[in-house]
Amino acid sequence: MSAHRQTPAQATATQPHRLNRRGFLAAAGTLAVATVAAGCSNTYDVASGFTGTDSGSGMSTLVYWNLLSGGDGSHMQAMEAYYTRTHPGVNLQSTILSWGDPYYTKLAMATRAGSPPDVAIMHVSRINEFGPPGLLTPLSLDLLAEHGMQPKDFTPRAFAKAHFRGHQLAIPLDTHPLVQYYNTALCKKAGLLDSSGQLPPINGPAALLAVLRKLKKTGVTPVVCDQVNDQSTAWRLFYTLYSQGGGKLVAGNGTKVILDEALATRVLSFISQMAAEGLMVSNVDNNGGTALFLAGDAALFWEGEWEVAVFQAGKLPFSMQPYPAVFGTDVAWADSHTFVIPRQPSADPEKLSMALTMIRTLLGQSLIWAEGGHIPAWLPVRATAAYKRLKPQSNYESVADRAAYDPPAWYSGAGSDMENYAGAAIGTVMTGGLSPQAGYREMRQAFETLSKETVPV
Amino acid sequence: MTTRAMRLPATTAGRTTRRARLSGGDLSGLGFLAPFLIFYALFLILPLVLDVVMSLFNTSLVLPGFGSFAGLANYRELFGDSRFWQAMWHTILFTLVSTPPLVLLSLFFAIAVNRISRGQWFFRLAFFLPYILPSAVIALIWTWLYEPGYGLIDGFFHLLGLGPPGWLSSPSLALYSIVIVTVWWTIGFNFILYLAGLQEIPREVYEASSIDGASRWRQTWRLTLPMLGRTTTLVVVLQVIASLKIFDQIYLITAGGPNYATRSAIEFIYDTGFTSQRVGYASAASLVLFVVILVVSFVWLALVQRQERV
Repeated sequence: MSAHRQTPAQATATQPHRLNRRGFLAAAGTLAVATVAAGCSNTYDVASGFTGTDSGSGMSTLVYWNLLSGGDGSHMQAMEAYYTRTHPGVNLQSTILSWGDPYYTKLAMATRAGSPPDVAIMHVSRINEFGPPGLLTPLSLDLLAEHGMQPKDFTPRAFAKAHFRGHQLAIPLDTHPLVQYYNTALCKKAGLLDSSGQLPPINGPAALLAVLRKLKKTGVTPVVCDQVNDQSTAWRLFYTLYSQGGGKLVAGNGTKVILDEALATRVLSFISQMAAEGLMVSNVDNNGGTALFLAGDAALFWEGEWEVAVFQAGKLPFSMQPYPAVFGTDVAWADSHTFVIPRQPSADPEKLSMALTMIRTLLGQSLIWAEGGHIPAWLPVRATAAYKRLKPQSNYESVADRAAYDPPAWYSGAGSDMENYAGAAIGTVMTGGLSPQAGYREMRQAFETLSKETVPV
Repeated sequence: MTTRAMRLPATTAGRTTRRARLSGGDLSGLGFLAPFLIFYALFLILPLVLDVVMSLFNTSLVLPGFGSFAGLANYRELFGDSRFWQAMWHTILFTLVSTPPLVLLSLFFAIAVNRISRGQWFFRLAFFLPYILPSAVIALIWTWLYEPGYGLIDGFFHLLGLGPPGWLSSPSLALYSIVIVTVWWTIGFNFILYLAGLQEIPREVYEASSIDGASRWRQTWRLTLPMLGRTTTLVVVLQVIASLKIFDQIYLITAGGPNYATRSAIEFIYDTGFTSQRVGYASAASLVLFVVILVVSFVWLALVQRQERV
C-alpha cells in the first residue's frame, strides 16, 4: 500500500528530465484549454458581427427585422431600396425571419437579451403580448409629429389599435383583411357577373349558398379556403363570420371567455354545410389552395389579400372584393403590419430619430406596399388617385375602416395560441371531421384553458 | 467467498493509486477533454439543471429572471393537462407504428440488395439518398405528393377510383401519412447498418451450410437473422429513441394538425414554451419526456446486457 502511494513521487524525483511524452501531452492539453479560452475572450468582434454595431466605418447602422417573405418581401425590399438611395449615410441591415411564432420568439428573446433590432415589423394583434412586459419603446405623439407623422395621417382604426394602455407602441403600415378573390372567367360562365364584369356584392347565407351552388353546376370547385398546416386561415374565416354577427370572444384581456354559443354554432353549421355539400374545398394547405385558384380550378378563393401578386404574375383573369356580408354586416377579420421600436438596452435619441425617419420614409412609399394587396394605413397615400386606380387592390379599401381585429388577450393575435387552438377545431369542422357542436365545444374548452393559465407576460 | 476476499484489497489499492496520480498526468488529460467537457457542461448539463429549476417556477420567455416560485404546481397542472397526454400518446403511437416498418423493411431491403451482384451501388444509393435530405426538403416534397388535386399519390388513388383519402386533412389518417414520410426518409440509415452487418457474416458459414444441403430460405432464417442479432438490437434502440424525438417533419408538414391529431410531445413543449411563452411549464413537460426516454433507454440497455451475457 505504502509503496503504491510513493510510486508517482519517486518517478518524478528520480527521472526529472523524462518530460518528453508526458510533458508534451501536458503542454498540448494546456494549449487546448488556452485556445478555447482565447476564443471566448474574443467575443467583442463576434458580438459586433451579430448585432451589427458600428465598427468605425463612419456609416451609422440601422438594424431592421421583419417577417415579410414572398411578394411582401420584394415590395418591402423596393421600399428599403428607396430609403437607402435617399439616405446614403445609413447602412440599413434588413433581416427577414420566418413568419409567425419563430419571428416573435426571436424578437422577444433578442429584446430581453439586450440586443434588439433598431426597428421591427410587428402585427398589431401581438402588441397585447409585447406591451405588458415592456419589450416595446412607447412613442410620444410629439416625437412622431417631429418626424412628420400625426395621428390624423393614419387609418384611425389601425392607429387606435396600436395604442395600448395609454401608450402609442406602434406605427401602422397597413390593414390586411380577409377578402374574396374571384375568377372572372369562371364566374361569367356561371352567369354571376353584372354588366360591368364585376361580381355583385353577396348578402346573407342564402345568397352565398346560391352563388356557390351555381358555380358547382359548371363543374368547378366553387370556393377554396385552405386549412391544412394553416390554423390561421380557418380562424380568419370563422372570426370574420362571427364578427359579422356581432360576436365577442373574450373580455378582461383574455381572463374571461364570452364566446356566444348560439352564434358560434350558427357560424360553424354554415361552414359545415358548405363542406358537406362539396361547395368549399379545405383539405389543402396554403400552397395547394393558391395553386387550385391559380390553375383556374376554383372559382372563389377566401384568403388574405396578400396573394394578389401571385395571381397577377400568373396572368389569371380574376378580381377581388370585400368578404361577403353573410351574417349582417360586411366586417372582415384583419390585422395590421406595424413598425415598432423594441426596447433598447440604453436610450439612444439619435438612433431613435434615425429609426423614425426611416419609418416615415417607408410610409411615404406605401403605394409600393399597396401593390402587394395591403390597404395603406398612411392616408396621404390611401387618399390618392394613384391608389384608387390600383385595381383590384383598391376594391376592398373601405374594409380597413371596419376591420375585425383579434380581441385583446395575452394569447391572441397573429400565429398565437388563440388562433392555433380555435383554428384547429374550426379547420376540422371545415373538412367534416367534427360536427359544429363538437367544434364549438373544443373551441370553448381551449379558450377556457387559456384564460385560466398563468399569465406569462 | 475467497474470490470476494481477494478482490477487496485490490480495488482499494486501485482507488488510492488513482487519487495519488491526479496531480500529474490527469491534468493534461483533462486539458484534452476540455473542448468537449466545456461544450458538454455548457450545452447539456447546464440546460438540464436550468430545466429542473425552471420547471419549479412560473418562468416566462419574455420576462426577466425565473419568475414567481411555483413549487410542483407546473407538474400538477401537467398531469391533469389532456393536451399534454394527447401529445405524449401521439409520440408513443408514432414510435409503435414507425419502428416495425423501419426495422423490418430495412432488413428486408438490405438482404435483397446484398444478394444483387451487379450494380449494387445503385440500390445502396437509392435507399440511402433520401436520408441525406434535410427535413425541410422532405416536408415540401411530401406535402406536394399528398396534395389533393395535384399530388402524385392522390392522383394515383384517383386513377384507381378511390376517393381522396385526405392524407393530411383527416385526423385519423394524418399520423400514418407522417409515418410513411418518415419510413421513406430515414430507412436508409437502418438499411446501411444492416448492410454492414450482413457483410460481416463470413462466407464460409454459408458455404458449409450449402454443403449440408440447406436451402436459401433456410439459410436466411437460421443463419442470417441470428447472426444479425446484435445489429438488430442496435437498430431497434436507435430507432425507438429517434422516433420518441419526433418533431421536424410533423411541425413542417401539418404543424401538429389537423386539430392536433399529429402534435407530438416535443411540439407541445415547443408550443408551450415559444408560443405561449410559458417556459416554466414547458420545462416541466420536457423533463417528463426526458424521464420517459431515459426509462426506455435503460430497459433496452438491460435487454442488451442480458443478450450479451447469453
